[in-house]
Amino acid sequence: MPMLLDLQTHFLQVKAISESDNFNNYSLDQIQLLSKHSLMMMDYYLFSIDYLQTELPLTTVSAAAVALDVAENLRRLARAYDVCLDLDITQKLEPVYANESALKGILYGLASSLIIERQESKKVRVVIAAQETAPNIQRLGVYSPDVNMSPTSIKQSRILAGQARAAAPLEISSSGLGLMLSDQLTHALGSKIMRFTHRGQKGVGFYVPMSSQLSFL
Amino acid sequence: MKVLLIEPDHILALAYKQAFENAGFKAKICTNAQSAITTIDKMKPDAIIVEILMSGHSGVEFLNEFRSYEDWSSIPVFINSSIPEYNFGSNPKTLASLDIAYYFYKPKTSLQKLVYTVKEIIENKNDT
Repeated sequence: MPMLLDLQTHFLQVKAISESDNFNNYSLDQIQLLSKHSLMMMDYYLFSIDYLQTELPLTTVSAAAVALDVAENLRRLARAYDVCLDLDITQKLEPVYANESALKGILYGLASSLIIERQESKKVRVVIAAQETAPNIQRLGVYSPDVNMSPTSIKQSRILAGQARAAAPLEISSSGLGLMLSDQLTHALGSKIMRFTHRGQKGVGFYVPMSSQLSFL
Repeated sequence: MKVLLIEPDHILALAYKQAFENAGFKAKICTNAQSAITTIDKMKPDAIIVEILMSGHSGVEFLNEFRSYEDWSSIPVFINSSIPEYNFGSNPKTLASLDIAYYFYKPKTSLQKLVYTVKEIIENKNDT
């Protein structure tokens, strides 16, 4: 049910674009983009449901590659929302022992929420970052210098999950689908979504514990 | 004719704005209630189209504040929402107390119907 309600916005976007008198090739591109994004959200949602009760299969994964892949997948959506999407991977990161689809789903949910909830008349910047915060501990997160994310607003987003339109873990959120998805998948990984600050920008993210055996490689 | 669109979704807002401009309106977008109040003061719109599902202050909170100013009482307000009218609040008198000119349910409203209805209601109001 939450998924249906939250996807409604994307269907409404497609409907509005297709009804426009100025329908052109750009409109078609937008429809393809919004359809692809909706399908990605559905895919991650179904994936998260599949692993609510069972353990996620773990393999060696590059957190940097995950961040890069999510950023690439969201670049066009960000452009459509007039959001500047950056990637920040400044360190060499060792492989982690995790589930690649879950990591991608968490980051995708958080980042797309931030993009969709852009504020008017102001250029919004969203940064996807992967970093090692302590030996053997890596953190993936989504940050923005333009959006205020307080612990209260994150709690409010969790309460609101599924009640309205597309989602964000922000004070301006109206639903919380991204956060709900990310909560479910981080729980499956044995981690949790938390609020962090990265280079002076507030954001949300999660720790991915690194395998001690892999760190010797 | 000038319309203010209070719509939190960027892509939907642009689609609505373009549809109104194609019909000869001057349209401005606000994505939240706070900025809408400031914009109304400057813009003096002939109509306001608001989504009630908004973050921060909801559309209902906006309408309560908006209707509290006597000088804005003659501006028609249209709700254009992704929730149906029958789900609107727990009190059936809420809509009546907010003096809503028309309630559009987004999934069942085409851009053409939205623009045409708003135009017709503004023109009828100006004629009387």
